[in-house]
Amino acid sequence: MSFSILAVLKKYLMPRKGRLLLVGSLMLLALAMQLVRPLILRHILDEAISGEGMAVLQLGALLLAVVSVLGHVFGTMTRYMSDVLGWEATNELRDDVTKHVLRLDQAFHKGTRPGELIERVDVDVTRLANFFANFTRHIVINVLFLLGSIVLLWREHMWVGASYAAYSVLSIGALSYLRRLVTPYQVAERKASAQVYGFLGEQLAVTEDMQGLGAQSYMLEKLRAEFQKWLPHRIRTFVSYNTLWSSAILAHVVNISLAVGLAAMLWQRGLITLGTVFLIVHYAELLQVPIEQIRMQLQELQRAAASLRRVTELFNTKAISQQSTGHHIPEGPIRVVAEGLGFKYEDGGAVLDGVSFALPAGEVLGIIGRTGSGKTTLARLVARQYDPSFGVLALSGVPTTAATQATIRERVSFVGQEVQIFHATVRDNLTFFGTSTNDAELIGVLYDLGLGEWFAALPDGLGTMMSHGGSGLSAGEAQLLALARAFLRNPSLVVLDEASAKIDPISEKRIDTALEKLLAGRTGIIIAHRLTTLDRVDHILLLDEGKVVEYGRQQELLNSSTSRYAGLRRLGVEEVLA
Amino acid sequence: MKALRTIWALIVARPWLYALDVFLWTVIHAIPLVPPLLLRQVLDALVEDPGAEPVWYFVAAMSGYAIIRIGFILAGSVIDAVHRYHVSALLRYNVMRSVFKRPGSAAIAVPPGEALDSVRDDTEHLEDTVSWVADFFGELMFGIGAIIIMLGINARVTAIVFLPLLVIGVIFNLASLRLEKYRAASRDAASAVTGVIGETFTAVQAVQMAQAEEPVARHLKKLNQTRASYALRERKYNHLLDFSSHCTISIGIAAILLAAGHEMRLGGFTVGDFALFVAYLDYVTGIAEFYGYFVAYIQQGVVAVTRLQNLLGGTIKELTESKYWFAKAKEQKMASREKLEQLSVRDLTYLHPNSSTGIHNITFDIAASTLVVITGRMGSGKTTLLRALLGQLQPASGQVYWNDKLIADPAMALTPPLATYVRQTPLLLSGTIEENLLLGHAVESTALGKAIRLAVFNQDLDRFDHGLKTMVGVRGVKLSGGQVQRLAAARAMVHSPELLVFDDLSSALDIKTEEEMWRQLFAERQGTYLVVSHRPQVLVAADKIIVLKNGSIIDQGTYPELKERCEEFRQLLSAQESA
Repeated sequence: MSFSILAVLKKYLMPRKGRLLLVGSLMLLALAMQLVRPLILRHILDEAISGEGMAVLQLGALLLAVVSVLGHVFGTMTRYMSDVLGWEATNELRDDVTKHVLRLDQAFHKGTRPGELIERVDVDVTRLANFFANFTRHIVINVLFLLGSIVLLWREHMWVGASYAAYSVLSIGALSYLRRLVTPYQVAERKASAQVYGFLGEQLAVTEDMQGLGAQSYMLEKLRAEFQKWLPHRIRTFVSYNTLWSSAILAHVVNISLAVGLAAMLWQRGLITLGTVFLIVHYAELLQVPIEQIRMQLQELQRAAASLRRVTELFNTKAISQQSTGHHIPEGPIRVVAEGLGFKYEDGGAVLDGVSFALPAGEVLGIIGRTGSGKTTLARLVARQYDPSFGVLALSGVPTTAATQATIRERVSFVGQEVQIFHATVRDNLTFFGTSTNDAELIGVLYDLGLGEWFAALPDGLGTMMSHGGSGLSAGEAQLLALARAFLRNPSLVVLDEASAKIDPISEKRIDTALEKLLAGRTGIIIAHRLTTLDRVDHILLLDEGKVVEYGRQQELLNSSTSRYAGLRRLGVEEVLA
Repeated sequence: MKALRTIWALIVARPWLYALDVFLWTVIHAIPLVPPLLLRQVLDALVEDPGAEPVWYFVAAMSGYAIIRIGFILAGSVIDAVHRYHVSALLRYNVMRSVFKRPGSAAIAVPPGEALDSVRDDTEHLEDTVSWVADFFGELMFGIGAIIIMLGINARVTAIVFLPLLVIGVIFNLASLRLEKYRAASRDAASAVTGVIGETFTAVQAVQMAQAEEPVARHLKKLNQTRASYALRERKYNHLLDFSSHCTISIGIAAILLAAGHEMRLGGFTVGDFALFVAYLDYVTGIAEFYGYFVAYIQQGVVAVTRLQNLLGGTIKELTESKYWFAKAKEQKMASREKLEQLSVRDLTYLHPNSSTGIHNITFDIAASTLVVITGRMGSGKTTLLRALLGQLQPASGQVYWNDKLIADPAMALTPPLATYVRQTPLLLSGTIEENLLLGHAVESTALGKAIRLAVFNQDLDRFDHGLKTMVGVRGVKLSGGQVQRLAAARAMVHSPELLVFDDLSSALDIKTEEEMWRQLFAERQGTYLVVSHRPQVLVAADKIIVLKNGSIIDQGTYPELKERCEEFRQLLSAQESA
């Protein structure tokens, strides 16, 4: 999706063009009322000076009141309708951005704080909402008002009209030029504030850790330091912003002086009435408003453009899944084959280096190795969270890079070590707000995995709200919940990344039994934490420093006298270097 | 009144700075009284003597006006920026301060995204309000000045000005309650959105793997629509208020001009007067509107104050207390060390909200320089027990004694150098490894080295190019799960605490390393250890094992004793031996 201001306006506003037209017409009516007002004022003034009867004056005043009220009616309707349009369009945009960001890779999410994403998906988009709601309306109305006033002034005297046309162009130009000078300060300030909020977000997340370590005052001092870094930016933005205001004041002085000078000249030559003198001066005053508004809207445009740029950046960040030929993975359990598989992070050495193995469909592979051996990376490649740097990883003959992420994720379930519980019902937490699964199935899986007791204690069953952090749910139980999530999706290949690390032995045994049931007819890859969990595994892959040390059928390895795996088991070592 | 009290407290936090702010902005807002006066003079001069040349005087005087006003604006911007900064910083500092003081798990009752939303926007609302008080005062001065000048010109015409102002005041007062209600609803709906966005992007991996992007996005969309409908309701009401005040003013102006025209025919009113009235009336109506909004904004401030108070869990006085923010930065001081002889836990009970699970009447002792291991199956309350003991959860009842002295506030007291706690899923700050280890404490490099060695983190450290200066990434993502936990263990050992509490190290350390760690720790002979573990090797080494089941202690003793008499313990062991 390529984005520009115009493209956004088109994409999100065009579907609403009927209502846009209505808003436009109401806006024109409101404008007409505004332009007529000074003419009525002149009339009142001239009549008063010439000493006409009260009736004429009364009529003028009544007309003024009616015109003003009508102007407010049209104006208010325009404003409210623009608000509605703005919110609708923005929610649509926000929905698109959310969906897009949700599809981006881990590579993107690992480098971005959730707080920062809130800024982008919410704050930036909200700014665009205001822009949608107001910009077009303001710009059009102000430009038209400006043009209308100049035409009316021109009617009074050519010189006045010409002078004001020139003044409008010059002052808008000058003010816009100044605006460009101050933008960098505003950009820097937004960056600084995003930094502060990012920090605050992190602080709010680590309270428990910091408290246990007695680091509260350290955190507060850090906060103070972050604030202090922000202050100079705030001062600079304020001053620069008000410099713009100051220049508008100067422009106003020029404006009024011009009006008074011109009117005085024409009056002294007897070319205009006293009422018209007032009219010229009054229009000049009124002109200042649209000039100021146009300037502010251009500034708003700039800010909206900055927000849009950030949003566009998000849109232009492509998930790797979007680069593929979309091959279909054959039905049934998946065969996993790696040939010379390697992976390195952009800024580092190889994490995986020339890994080869072949896991037949429907069998289970256990991967062991110490931290940094590349276990987790291998698991992530299988789930296509990353693409290999070299070599091939094929699922039932289809290289992961040839299938879309969606295809792969439909067939592959991945359970990692971290579990996030949503502030939502148990049902929504299990199905991720999905609707397709029935309750009996949900409860069945919970019991299968040994969460039955926990479930039975819930006051509202599946409808119980889970609080942030999952109250009453131990770390082990949370991991079981994640397993339940994975199996509910009926995958063909299951990847478990130390998913039972935090579960006690008794429960783990129970899960083992459940896993056996759940893995039936499926291919499994288990990154093992305890060697005991490998009892039912068909194949063993021992990794070290990104390379395969040993690979083979468990039984064959155990029977071999040279096998390192067999050696570990014989020694009774329970756990491999996590 | 809540909002007013808060605003007042924020104003007096820095009285002189604020007084200067008010002075500058009063001049900035009141000085526009001058141009209409000048205009009146020039118009009247023209009428009286068509040959006069008053225009140049007018231009000169207007330039002077502009220069003075601009000077004040620039000075006012600096002062306003500084004052505003202090107002929101003070509020945010106080909120964070009390968040850190509260028991860990109760620190914030809402998802972090939602809390952040409040810390960001509600403080900003109050900051705006305080700053606008200065503006409002200036506008008020202008209004009073304008009315005095107009009264001086023609009292009868001016009298009509008050009527619309009165009507607007009444309208806004009547509307304020509802405005506040609508405001609260739309703020809550907005918070719900940010809360869910935060949770969603934290869990993005799980969401993606579950291919739940669509349903999650749909859920968010629904929340967004709710927010939009509340926001629009608020806007509609605001528009209606605007509409009624605008109409009142317009009708008022028509009436005033009618009266002015009448006076003019009688000769008591000049063109200059007329122009001045029109100009002032435009301003005064602007002020009336500003007043309406300002009052509404102050009332909406109640919502902001309430939300901040919920987060802070304290009074307005605590929220606006200025002494902490304006205090000089202090060296982080640790509590004084008191050698542990015995830690006693008596009748500790905690129940999870929304659930009947928890821990019940836990009583046990820990003698100095011993290793006490808590074991039990999943959900038996091991972590809950540690957290309740350390004050991170607020226990329903029970006491903890340090050498027979009751610990009144365990969350505050059981910190280094008395105790440290390594959580099961520790979180890191997104700084360097060194920063994460020190957390602002002054630590000797030998102590640091020892902690790294004891936590078996030295091998990991050697692998990083920048050693201690390596950046760990956002929430420590650049480290593996095991590395995060070993770093967290080292972080806890830096201060050689009297009591070291570990919640299950088994996913951080392989058994050999853990055995090595315990061997070294005992060789050091300096600490007491309370540990959650299932590992037979650790259980064998323990001086005392506490077996938990369904939140209660079913037995405690040594490994041989328990193996002899405790069925649950035997089950836990046999589950691991079956290999």
